[in-house]
Parts: sequence; structure tokens; C-alpha cells
Amino acid sequence: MLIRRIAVRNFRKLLHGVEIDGMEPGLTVIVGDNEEGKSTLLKALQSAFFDRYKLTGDAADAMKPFGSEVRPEVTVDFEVGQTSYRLKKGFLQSSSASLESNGDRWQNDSAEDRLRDILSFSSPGRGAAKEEHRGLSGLLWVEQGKAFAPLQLNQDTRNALHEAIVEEVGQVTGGERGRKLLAAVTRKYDTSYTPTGREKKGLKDTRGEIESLKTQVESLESEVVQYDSKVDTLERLKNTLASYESEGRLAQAQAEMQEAQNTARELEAVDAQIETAEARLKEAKTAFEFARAAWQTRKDKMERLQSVETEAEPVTRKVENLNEELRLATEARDRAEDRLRVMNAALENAESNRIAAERERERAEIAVSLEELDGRIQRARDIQTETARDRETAAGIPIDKATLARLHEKDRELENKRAALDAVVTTLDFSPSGDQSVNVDGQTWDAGRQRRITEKTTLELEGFGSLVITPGGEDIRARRAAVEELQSSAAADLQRVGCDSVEAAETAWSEKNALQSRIEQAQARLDEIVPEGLEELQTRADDLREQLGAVKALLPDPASPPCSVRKAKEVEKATLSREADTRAAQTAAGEQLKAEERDFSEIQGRRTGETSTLAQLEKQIKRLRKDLDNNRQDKADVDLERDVDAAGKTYDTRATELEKLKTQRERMSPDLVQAELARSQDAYENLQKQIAKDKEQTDKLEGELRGIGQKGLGEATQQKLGELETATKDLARLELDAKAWALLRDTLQQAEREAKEVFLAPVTERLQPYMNLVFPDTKLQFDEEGMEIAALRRTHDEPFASLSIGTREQIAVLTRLALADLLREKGKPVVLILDDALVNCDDERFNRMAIALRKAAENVQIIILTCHEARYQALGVTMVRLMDCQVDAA
Amino acid sequence: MGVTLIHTADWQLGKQFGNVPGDAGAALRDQRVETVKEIARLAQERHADAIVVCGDVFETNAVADRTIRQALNALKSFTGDWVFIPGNHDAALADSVWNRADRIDKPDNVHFLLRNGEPLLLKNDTLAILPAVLERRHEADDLTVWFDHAETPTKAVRVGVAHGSVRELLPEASEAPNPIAADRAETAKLNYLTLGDWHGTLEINNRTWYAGTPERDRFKFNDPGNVLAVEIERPGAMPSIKKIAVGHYVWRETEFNVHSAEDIAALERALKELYPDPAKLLVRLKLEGVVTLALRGQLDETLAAWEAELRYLKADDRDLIAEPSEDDLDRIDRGGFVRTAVEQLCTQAADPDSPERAIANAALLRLYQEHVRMEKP
Repeated sequence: MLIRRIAVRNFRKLLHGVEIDGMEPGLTVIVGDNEEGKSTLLKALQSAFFDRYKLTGDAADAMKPFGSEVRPEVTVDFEVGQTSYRLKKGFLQSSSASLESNGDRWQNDSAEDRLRDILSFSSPGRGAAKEEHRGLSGLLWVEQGKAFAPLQLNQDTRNALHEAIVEEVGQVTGGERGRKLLAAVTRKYDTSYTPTGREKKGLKDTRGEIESLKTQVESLESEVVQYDSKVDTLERLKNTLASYESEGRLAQAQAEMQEAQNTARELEAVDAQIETAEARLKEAKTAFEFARAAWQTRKDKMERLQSVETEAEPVTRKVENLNEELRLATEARDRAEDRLRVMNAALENAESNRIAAERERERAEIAVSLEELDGRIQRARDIQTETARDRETAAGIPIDKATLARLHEKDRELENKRAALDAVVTTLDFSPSGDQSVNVDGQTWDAGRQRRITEKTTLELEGFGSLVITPGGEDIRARRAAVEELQSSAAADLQRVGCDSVEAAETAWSEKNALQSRIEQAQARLDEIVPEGLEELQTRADDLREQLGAVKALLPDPASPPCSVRKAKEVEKATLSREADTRAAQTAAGEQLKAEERDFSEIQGRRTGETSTLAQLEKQIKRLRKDLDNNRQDKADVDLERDVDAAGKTYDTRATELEKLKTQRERMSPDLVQAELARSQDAYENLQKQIAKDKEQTDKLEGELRGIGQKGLGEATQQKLGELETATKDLARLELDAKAWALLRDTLQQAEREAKEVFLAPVTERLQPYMNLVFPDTKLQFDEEGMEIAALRRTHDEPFASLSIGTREQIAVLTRLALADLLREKGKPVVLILDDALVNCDDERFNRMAIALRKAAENVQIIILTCHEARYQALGVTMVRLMDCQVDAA
Repeated sequence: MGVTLIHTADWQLGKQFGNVPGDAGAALRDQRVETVKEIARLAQERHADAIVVCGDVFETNAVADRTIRQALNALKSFTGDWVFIPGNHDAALADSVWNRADRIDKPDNVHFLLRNGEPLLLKNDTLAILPAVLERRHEADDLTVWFDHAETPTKAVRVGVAHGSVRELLPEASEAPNPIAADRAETAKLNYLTLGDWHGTLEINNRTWYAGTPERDRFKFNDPGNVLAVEIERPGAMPSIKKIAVGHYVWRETEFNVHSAEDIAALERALKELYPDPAKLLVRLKLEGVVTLALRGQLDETLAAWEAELRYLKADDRDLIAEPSEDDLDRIDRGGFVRTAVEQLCTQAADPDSPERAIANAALLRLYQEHVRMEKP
């Protein structure tokens, strides 16, 4: 389809006429400012093609220019296939429609019928034409501000598209019935499964019921098993109880016990006899032992007497011998005493002599020591005297080392000062030719004598007058004063040390030094003679003198002259020797006496001992004899002996009796008797207890079983097993049903998906190149049923509604391009009109869209209405300005 | 002056039929007591001297007291002697249903024979009952041996009562415990040996019979639902035995091949012909064949209708294969994704190795049914 010319008069905003003529295939851009009427142009086209010319009411009134009653008119020249048409419509007053083509002309209703045949759209019936009545234009003519909306194909468009697609791929979708069938199947599926594929209540409940029934059955079966087991137990118990009776087990146990008790009683009787026999035997034993003891006591006493008598006999002889020995010992002791007395006197004499000699020797030795000490003291005293004298002399010499040094120093300085003075002194020599004299300070200067002038001196030269000499100027005076000062100082020093010259001082210092040296030597000698000090020495001398006095006083003759030490020592040695000899003799005499005394004491001791022993023995013999005599009077020895014999015989008899009894007891096997008694008693008691217990348990079990029996376990178990079987079958049926619906739904959905892909292929094949241009690496997903854009698949599916307005707008336009391509290829009348459909584009996106539009326009006429002239310049096509197309209004 | 007995056994009172869901199960359970009442009435009508019940009176020893009371109540309308022995289900263990029944108020004309070796003399010593009493569930020895030497009054008719297997004559029970010699009636000079345990009425020899259960309890067919009326003229005389049906419910097992709509109609006819009163009829129906989805839907409708009418219908359709026909498939959809899905499901359903085969079949059937539902106005 191609629109060649549009002429509009008195239509809404277009009060003046507008005529756009000469439109060509491809892209036409009609530019108009806002409110200039470009959208009205689209309305006028829609009205011309799709509104009934007889339209009345508000919709028709809306066509009138504001405040005007003129007749809206639209004329369109267009071509479909190779046929050209002119459509004219006038609305409201004198409304009319006409369609002309190749000389044919259709008026009014028939014109509109013809038009519907050509363009395939539905009659709006009453009222204005809406989207659904505009056929393909409903899709392809996009009003301002609606480009981003979903496509919302009307039925005619849908049919056309379906026809176009089926023509290309055949009938692949299920159509309305298929969709309904799938919906119904899905509803069935939903009754069994949740949207996430989990089982819903029915299945779950049945499973739960089965589990619950299984648990109940298990529980019941376990109760039945318990019941059966209890019945078995009861059976066993009853059998056991019956067997006690039938086998007479209790009676037998009782009989065994009684027999054991009888045997035990017999054993007890024997035990009592044994006890009595043992007591009698013990009694006999005591009597026998008593008799034996009495006889033994008698025998012991007799033996004892005899033994003591035997013992006394040698003691008597021993006492007699000891008396003789003692007499001899007394004599020997007296002799030894006499000898010792003699020796004691001799020793006393020898000791006196020896002491006298010792003291004489002592006196001699002390005297020698004292003499030596006194000598040393005297020599020390002499040295001390001499040293004291030298010290005194040295102290009288006042010079010391420092003063001497100072004197030397001053002397040297004086020398220097004098030399300095001499250097400026004027020396005068007078050699008068006559007897003229020269007076100086009133004194005559001897001729021929050299004179040193050291100060201003006036010379009275006889015959000449006076001559004043001033030597060296002022300086000499200072020098001379220095000399004099020094001289005076040195003189003062000398005077202080009592010397008249330095030399003298020197000599005095030497003398002082010599004295000092002698004093030191004397001190050294003194230290040598008396190292311990003179006082100490003196004390020692005094002590010795005192000792000497004491020793002298002890001498036998204190007035006797002292002898030499050597002589005194010789005398002392002789006395010592004599004393030693005498002492040895005295000691020997003492030892002899002691020996004799010991002998005496020893013999005396022995005699006393033996005598005492003898006395005791004799006393004992007397006592024993008396005791024995008394006893024999009570019972004779023969009688005692007879008693022992009789008691022994009684004991033997009773022992034999006891043995017999014990043997009898052994034969009865007492251990076995006791064991059998215990066993039979226990067995009987246990059996009684067991029977009681079994009876008790029987009663208890019977009670329990009564209780369990009432419950009807068997019926309950059967019932539950039946229910379980039914529920299991139910579940299988439900599962099969649910699985069948699931399989059905899945298979249908899968088939539908695949069909959709096949079905949409003609659209997507045409769309994808445009998408690649504007949205590279993306695909559009369509809802096949309504041919609606569902989602944009980039990295994932983004629903159309969630995309930005700009993107939606562009996608919707691109989709229309593709659909227009497809429809045109299938021979459908297609013109695409976009009223400012791309207002939400950035420049880059717009440029890509422009390319897409240009590409599409190669096959389809595209009319673009816009107020963005500059922007659409980029399309590089001729622009038609609405203002340039105005014609005068009617 | 002869003796008239009613011989019955295997009442299995307290059997639950838990696998028969809902009211049907409860009805089967309750009917067993009703049938006992029917036996009592019958015996009363026929002026029987005694009713001999040969064990397995109760399903288990662990039935509820209520069941025991119901049983005792059911005995009331017969005033003659009731003679019971225990069976393997209700063996006279140390504690058993018999002890418990004894404690409940048991009428004097009701005799529980719980000891071997003690004949019960009835009818002024003209009827001697020799019981073989199971004191355990399973006995390896023949408990009827003592009958051979049992002393009874010469004027007494000798009737043995036992519960167990006559091994050589019950092939299925050849290894079963509680053996009974087939010639016991002869060796013990019994007029008649009443037996219980086998649920069908069965003649072992002219003096030895199993009465079978009076109310059927399973589909397996072996002539149950009867009691035996036994008349004995005098000691040593041959008994006259009459089988009398007393069972209420009719159990039928049937197989049916379905391939076409005609087969479904035939099935309906067959079900109608099984028994005139469908409320008494329990049916186990095994279906085989290959049907289209359309037929399968029709069959399901038919079965649902019969399920409502019969006391119980158990249809086993594991071997009934629903195979969609081209028509079925076209009816669902000729093209489009639904057709694609159907073809996939058909492939799965036709593949005997596919683990999903049954599910795929069920899915196809459901799809077909959904489609049919959608087509309905």
C-alpha cells in the first residue's frame, strides 16, 4: 500500500486546508510544530479510512474545528497493489463517502464496504472506530505517546498475521482449543501439585494415612505378638502347675526333707553323747594329773633334801682350809708394812736435799741474767745522753733548707741586678797633672783611684771649678734602688739566721746536717741494744731482782755466798739421782704391801662366802627334813603311788568310750547329713515359693489376658490391615492419576513451547536483523497467543513491562517494522505511520533507529510525523513542512 | 427314635473385610452374625436335636467381647443343644475366646468342648459327641485317635467332631497340620464324623463331611454358604445328609474381554445374569483386551454405574490396554501442539519397555476425557 496524497479541510485544528501531495514509496517525514496539527493529520487519516461517514454524536462533533460548524473533509489518494484509489469523506452536514478507482466509483455505504474489502478491517458498528476496528492500521499507525505501549493487536491484525505465518510455517499451534485443553490439564495438575512441583494435600494425606496405618498395624501386631506370647506363657505356667500335682513333686520334696531332718536328729543325739563322754574324760584326766602331781611333789621333796645334803659336805671342808690360809696371810702383810715405813723416811730426806740444790742453781742463774740486763741499760743510757746533747746543738743552728735556698736565690738576683747597674755606671779616673785635687761631696777623691759614679755627683775640681756628672740618666737610680733593696732583704735574711754571709749560712747548714746524721745513728744503736725498749728492760731487771731476793730467802742459809751456775747445776744433778733411787725402793716396798693386803682380803672374802653358804645349806636341810616328815605323816609315799595308778586306769577307760562314740559319728557322715538337710529344706521351700509365684503369675496373666482379649486386637489388626491395603491402593491410584496429569501437562507444555518457536520463526527471522542493529546480542520473546512482546532476553529474560520507556518504544517500533515486512511480503496492504514515536532516544540510539527505519522503508512506506525537524534531518530524506502545505480553507 | 443334627463350621466371626472399603465391608462383617441367626432359625424349624459347630467359630482368639456377645445372642432362637469345638483360629489355648465366652453369661444349652477324651452325652445318653480339641493352633498328631477306643452307651449314636485336614483328600492341605484320618468314622465306629476347616462343603466319605463356611468370605469358589442337615436313625446306621444353602452374599469372579462397544454391552448383560439381586452380589471382574480411548471412557462409565449397583465390584483392568485410535487422536486435535503431545504420549504408551507406559496410557485417557468434557456444551 502506498499513500500518495492527503488533503484535509475543516478537520479539528486544521481549520485551514492542508494538502500533502506527491508522497513516494520509502520514508516521508512530515514536520510540524506542536499544536500545528500533525497529530490531527493522523486522526484525519484514521477517520477517512475507518470512521463511518454517517458518524454522529460526540465523536463526530470532535472532528469539527473549534467554534465552527463547517463540514470536515478528508481526501486520500492511495494505491494497493497496482490499483490507485481516491477516497473522499465528508462528515456531519451532508456527510458522504466516495471511493474511485480506474473509473469505478463507490458511494457512501458501498464505498465503505469496498474499502473494508480492500483493507480488511471490521466495521465499528455504532460510534467511532477504535483500535480494533482499524485493521492493520491499528498496529501500524502509532499515535503520539503510545509507542511504548504493548502492541495489543486487534482481531483483524491477528488474523492477518496468523494467516501470514501459517502461510509460511503451516498450522503448528493448537489454537484456542489447545490453549483451553492445556489450561484444563494444568488445573487438574494443580489439584495434585504445588507450583514448585511438590505434592499437595490429597497425596500427602494419603501417604500420611498409610504411614499412620502402618504404625497402627505394627503396634497392633506387636500387641498381638505380646498377647500370643502371654498366652504361651500362661500355658507353660498352667502345665508347670499341673505337673507339680501330677508328678507329686511337692510331696516328694517334703518327704525328702523329713527324712533328712530325722537323720539330723540322730546325729544330734550322738553329738550329745560325745559331749558327755568328753566331759567325763576331762574329769578323769584332771584326777589323774592331780594324783600324779602329788606323787611327783613328794618325790621332788625327797630329791631336794638329798641334793642339799650332798651340796653341804665339800663346803664344810673348804671353810677349814681357808681359816689356815688366812693366818699365814696376816703375817706376811705385817712384814711388808715395816719395810715401807723405813723407805718413806729415806725418800723424805733425799727430796729435801734435791730442793736445796735446785734453789741454789736458781739463785746463780738469776744473778747472771740480772748482770747482763744492767749492762745493757747502762749503755742505752749513755747513748741517750749523747743524743740529747747533739739535738740541743742542732736546735741552736737556725738555718734551714728553704732559707738557704732563698739566700742563694737572692744572691744570684743581686748579682744580676748589680751587673745591670754596672752597665750604666760611669767610671772616673783622674790623673791630675799638678797637685790639684778633686773633691767629691766635700771629700777629696784620691788621684789614681778609679771611681764609679752611680748618681748625680758634683765634683769640685780644684782650679777648675765644679763638674756635675749625672750617670745613666734617671734609670740608674732605679737600678741602684733595686740593688739596694735586694741587698737589704738579703741582709735581713742573713741576720734572721744569724749569719753574716751566704757562705756562713752554707757552713751552718752543713754542721746541722752532720748533727742530724749522728742523732740518727745513735738511735739505730739504741734500737739494737734495747729493741724491747728501755722501760721494759728496766721492769724486767726489777722483777729479776725481786726473784733473786725470794730465792735467797728460801735457801737453808741465806747468807751463804753464791756459787757459779755450773757448780750449782752439778750439785743439783747429784741430789736428783739420789732421790730417784730412794723413790724406786720406796715404791717397791709399797707394792709389796699392797700385794700382801690383797691376798689377805681375798682369802678373808672367800672364807666369809663359804661360811655363809654353809650356814644356809644347813638351815635348808633342817627345813626340808621337817617338811617331809610332816607330809609323810599325812600320807605315806606308798599310798601316793597307788593313787596315781588308779586314776590312770580310769582315764584310759573313758578315752576308749569317747573314741567309740566318735567313730559312730564319723560313720554317719555329718557333713552330708547337714548338706542334705539344707538342700532338702531349700528345695521344699523353693518349690513352695515357685508354686506360689507361678500361681500368682497365672492369676496376673489371666487378668491381663482378659483385659487384652476384650480389646478385640485380632479384629482391630485385620481392620487396619484392610484399611492399609485400601489406602495403599488408593495411593497407587492417586499417584498414577497425579503422575498422569503431570506427564500430560509437561508433554503439552513442551509441545506448545516447541510449536511456539516454530510459529514465531517468521516474525523473529525478520525482527532479528533490526534487533541486531539497535540491541545487539539480544532476542525478543513473544507471547504467541496475543502476538505480544513478552520479554527482552539479554543475559536473562526481562519482562517487557519492566524495561525503560525508551527501550519499550524502540522495541515496539522495531517489532512493527518486522511485522510490516512480514505482512507486506504476504500481500497485505501495509503503511507504517509513526507520530513522534521515538522521543525517548539518546542520539546514538536514535541514529541506529534511523538506520533501521531506512532499511525498513526500502520495502514499506513509512510516514513519520514529528516536531523534531533537526533530529530527523539525520535520516537523510526529504522533509515536508506542514506549514508549507496549507491551502485556503473552504 | 433317631437323631437330627445341623452340622456347620468356620463361621469366622469377627472377620473384618478391611480390604473391602466402606459400607460393603461393614455389611459383610455384620452378615456373618445374621447367618448364624439364620442357622439357629433353620435348626429350630427342623426340630434339630443339636447344632454341631466344628471350630473356627471366631476369626481369632483376640476378638472383642462385643463379638462374643453378638455370637451368643445369635444362638438364642435355637433351643436345642449347641456343641462347639475350637479350631485353629480359636484354639483352646491357656487363654482363649472360650474362657472369655464362659465368663460371659453362657446359656445351659451351649456346650464348649475343650478337653479331649471326654465324650458329651446328650438326649438321655442317646447321642454321644466325641470331640477332638485343638489345645494348640497346630497339632502334628491326629487328635481323633482316641475316638477309636472311646466308650459310649450302647444306645448312643456316636458322632465325632473335629477340625483339621484329611490330608489325602485335600490336596491343597497335604502338608497342613491338624491331621485327621480319612477312615476315622470307620475305625471309631462313628455314625458320623463332622469336620471343620475346609471352607467349602465337601464329602470325604459317606460318614465324613466338611460342612464348609455358611457365609462365604472370599472369591475363591469351593461351594461354600451351606450347612448340613444330618439324620441318624440309630447307632451304627448310615447318616442321611442334606446340604442346605444359608449364605446371604453371592461372590462371583469373572473375566471379560473388551474390544468393542458390543463387548461392553455383552459385559453388562453378563453382569446382570450373574445374580438377580445385585445388592447381594460381590464381583471380581478381570478385564482384558485392547480398547480405544473412546471405548475406554464408555467402559469406565459402565463400570461406575455397576459399582453403584453391586454390593462390591472390584475391576482389575491391568490387562486392559487403552490404545488410542486415529479417530481418538483426530478428535482431540488434528494438528497443533496438542496433536504433537498426543503422538508423543502414544509412543510412550506403546513402548513395552517404557517405565512410563502406564502413566502415559493414563495421561492419554485423561486427555481424551478432558477433551470430551470440553466438547460438551
